[in-house]
Amino acid sequence: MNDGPGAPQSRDAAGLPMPLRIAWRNLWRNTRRTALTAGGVAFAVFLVTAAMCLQLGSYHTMKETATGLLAGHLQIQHGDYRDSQRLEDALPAAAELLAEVGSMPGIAAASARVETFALASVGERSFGARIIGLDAAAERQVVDLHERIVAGRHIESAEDAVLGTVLARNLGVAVGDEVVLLGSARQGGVAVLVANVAGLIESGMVELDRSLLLADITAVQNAFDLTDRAHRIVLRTTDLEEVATIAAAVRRTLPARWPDAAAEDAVPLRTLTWRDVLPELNQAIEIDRLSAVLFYWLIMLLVAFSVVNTFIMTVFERRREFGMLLAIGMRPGRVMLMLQWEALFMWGIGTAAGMALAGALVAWLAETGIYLGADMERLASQMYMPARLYPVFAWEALLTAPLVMLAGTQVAAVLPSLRIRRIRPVDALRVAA
Amino acid sequence: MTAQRRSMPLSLLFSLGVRNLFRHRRRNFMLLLAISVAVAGVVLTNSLIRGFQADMRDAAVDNLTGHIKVLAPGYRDDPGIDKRFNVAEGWHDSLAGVPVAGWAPRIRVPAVLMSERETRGIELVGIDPSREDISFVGDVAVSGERLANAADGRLLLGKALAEQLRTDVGYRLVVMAQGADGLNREAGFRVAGLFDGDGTGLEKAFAFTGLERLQSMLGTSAVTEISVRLEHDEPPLLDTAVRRLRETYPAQDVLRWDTLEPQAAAMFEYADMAIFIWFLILMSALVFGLVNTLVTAVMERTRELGMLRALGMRPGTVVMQVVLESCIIMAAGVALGLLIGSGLVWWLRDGIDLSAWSDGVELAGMRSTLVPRLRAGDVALVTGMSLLLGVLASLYPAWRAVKIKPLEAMQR
Amino acid sequence: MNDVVVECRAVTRVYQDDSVPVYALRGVDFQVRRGEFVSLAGPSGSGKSTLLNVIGGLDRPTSGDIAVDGVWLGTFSESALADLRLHKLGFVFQDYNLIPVLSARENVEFILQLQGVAGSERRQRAMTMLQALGISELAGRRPGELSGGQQQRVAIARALVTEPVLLLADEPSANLDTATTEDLLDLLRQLNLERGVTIVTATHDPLVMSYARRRVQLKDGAIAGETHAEAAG
Repeated sequence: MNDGPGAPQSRDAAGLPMPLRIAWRNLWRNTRRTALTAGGVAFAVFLVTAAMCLQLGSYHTMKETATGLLAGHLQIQHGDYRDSQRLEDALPAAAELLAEVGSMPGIAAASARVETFALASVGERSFGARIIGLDAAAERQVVDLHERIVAGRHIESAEDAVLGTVLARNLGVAVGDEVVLLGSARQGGVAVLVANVAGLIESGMVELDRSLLLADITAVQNAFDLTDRAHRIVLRTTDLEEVATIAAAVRRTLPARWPDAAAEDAVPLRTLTWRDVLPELNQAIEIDRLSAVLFYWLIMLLVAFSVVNTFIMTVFERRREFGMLLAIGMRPGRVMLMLQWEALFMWGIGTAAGMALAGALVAWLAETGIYLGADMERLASQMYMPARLYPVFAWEALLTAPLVMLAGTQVAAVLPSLRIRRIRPVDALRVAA
Repeated sequence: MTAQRRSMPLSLLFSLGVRNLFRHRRRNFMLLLAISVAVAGVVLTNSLIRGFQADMRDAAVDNLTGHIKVLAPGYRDDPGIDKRFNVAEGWHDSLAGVPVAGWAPRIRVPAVLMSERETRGIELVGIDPSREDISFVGDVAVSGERLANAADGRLLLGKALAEQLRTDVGYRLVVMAQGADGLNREAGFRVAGLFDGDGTGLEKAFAFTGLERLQSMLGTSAVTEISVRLEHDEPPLLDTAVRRLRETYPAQDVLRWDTLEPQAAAMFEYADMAIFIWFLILMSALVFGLVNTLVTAVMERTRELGMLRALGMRPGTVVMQVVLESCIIMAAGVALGLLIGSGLVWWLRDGIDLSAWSDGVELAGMRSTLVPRLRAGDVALVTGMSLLLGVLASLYPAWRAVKIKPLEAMQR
Repeated sequence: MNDVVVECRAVTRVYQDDSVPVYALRGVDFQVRRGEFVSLAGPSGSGKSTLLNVIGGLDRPTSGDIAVDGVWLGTFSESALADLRLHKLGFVFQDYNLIPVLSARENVEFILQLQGVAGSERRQRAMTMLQALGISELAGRRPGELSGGQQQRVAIARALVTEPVLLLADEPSANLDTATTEDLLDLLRQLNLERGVTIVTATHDPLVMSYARRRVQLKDGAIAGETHAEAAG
């Protein structure tokens, strides 16, 4: 027998009920096997937990970055605007709507925008530009756009404009220069807006930097015949993770048509979450989540296999012992239950070790972050990711691996211990020592 | 025949190993299953990542990039007709002997498209339709008509862009762009057809017209780029082609696709690394069970191994026996795993439909159908590394086996 | 109170060995009365162990029936047999078969716990039993730290702590030297005489047989003869 004389007190489990005591002490009859099995569980728990913390952390950052850039957490639009992007699919009585939505529960800040495409010209140079008319002061509360201004300042007056860096370079303008915007107004006819370049903005998104032109909302409304109209009411909620609930509440509270069904120019309203506004990000996260799930399940499955193997070996080696227990009148079910306890202890040891390692690593990385490297930096910025990833502690990440492994180890122990029902005490006792 | 006298013949050790494995069918079957699942998992994810890599590169190359491009200096930073160059007469002689799939001269300039109600900024591309079999334009689905030739003065637009502009086949659009003299040009174009880019951003980014028409509009006979596509993209071939082109166009930039699309190239390398890391992690998860089973197999044979040692078996032979046993089960597991994995790849040969996530897929540079690709090199790598792992995992159990003292073991 | 503890009626046990039927028991009729010390003797394959197993509910007869303490076992389920073993029988095996991870006292206590006896009573009964067998100072040791004779004593303590109606011992002396065996047999005799414990052993050790007051001889699965040794004590 492998048990040495006088096992340490800490392993003695003298305070536990007898079957648990037997189960616990049995673990230490073959310390190496227990260590390897619990080590496998620890490996899976550590890897899956740490990876999930990192994964959720990067999703969190991606969402924060992406919604903070332009989209906000929620948007209210004309029912057709998202697909058509047409100038006339605008919300009427925008100021009233803004005030009403802004005071709803769960909404931290709100800002109205008008958007259109226009020709931006400087001298003989012209480029297509995506014009966003906004209220700079209100936007500061909703998104972090102002943090991305790399030269000059944000919009302060009706004449100011902030250009994407690439657009500015293409147009050959610098802060202080004048740019002429030429487009079509809402009722037809030509819209003209002359603006001064107050600042330059760099988002890291190639498409935006090449086309973005921010201007004062009132100036754009006036020039494009959009008085008191807006294309988007952009909202920041009190909690990004609760956005679906808040959106549902907003939908319930708002009328289906705005200003109301009686008014002549009432339009259908649509409340969109960032998932609808940035489908590519939402889907990229979904795909990543799916592939990660494949990854996690494969690892945990493999470790569960090794637990099955451990219990096959345990049952095989202890056939005589089980035979004796059956002979003195212990029911097979209770013998099996004892093995389930062993599996539970093994899981407990492995999970504790794995969680401790994962916790330490995540806590450390949450401070320092993981640097992706210079090559990945540009790529990351296209995915709304910063160059440094910070894992987060989240219930989902902390519970998944332990719970799945709990189920896995229990099932893994059940399969071999079903054999116990087939052990006939007579045969077991007859086997030579 | 000294080798024979010194140790047991390998064939005997081998059959001993196989028999030992069959002594404990249940647990070794579980081990085999675990190895197979791991290997099959590696093979499947591996070929999915390879498929993703290939997609990404093809998409990058297809999207008007090609394998190699000749560009005027400065065009990449500030694309415009002022960064242009003339196509040298008979220039492609310089590529004689290089397997070229095709090449296309183009003008690509930023432009503004105006319908009666809407304005959009896009990239206007002047092409010679007969040469565009090297890019997506050549085989994209089109409603209406394609461009007939380089002199065709009509426009080919993406479906999504046409919807935004509220235009359709046969309608007129006004195009504004900067001319070669730096002055703005404006011209009317009729829409020839609308292309279907599978909902990708291509539909909103580009409008195509005939190269000669665009040249006359902008007042130049030059182009802004020549895109070259090779028969295959082995690095030495790319290097040769780049060298020849640089000799022909010494004043221009000659760039490979991975320089032109650094994001795709970075993603490509990242995927290479991911394959390796993934393999290591899965195999590590396997090691716990493998070592566990092997040590048990050694410990329950303590008497037997002690007896063999007493009869004169050398420690080296004992080690060999354990290592061989590990390798046999590993090899069997790898074979089964490869079979299952290739089966899965074959089953998915028509690709996984990702169109439900088309926007996200595009963000990652993939196509809407992901076809797994199994490469012989990867299979060889997985097999070799697994066997190496089998040897490594058997070292500790083998050490335990060697430590068995013949006399003590037999007294037990 | 029933005076007959074990009653075997026409018990036959046939094993299928490579489709050749092997008769381990051929219609054995056999009785054990309360307070008897019986040894089942006979060469290997005579059926003595099979008879012991059948009496202990570890094995079922192919035909015939057995009553233990007046209850016929023929219709018992496996669980009912397990309960019978737990509550009415005590077993001593040739390899002692103690639970290696439990101390001597815990081994004895364990079976009481299976019976559902409360903690303090359990401990007390276990210690009393160990004391009675003169091994109370070994209570804290695990089987690995005990000699063969000591382990066998713990096994007997475990078998008796439940106060079974019948103690079954299969080759109790198989792994013991002569001196230890004599100690053990003295103990069994003492238990039999002073406590009235009914004992049935299966053995081919003449020393064990000499202690039994009734010796049943088996041959080829049938009872070949019986001797009573009232005077031998």
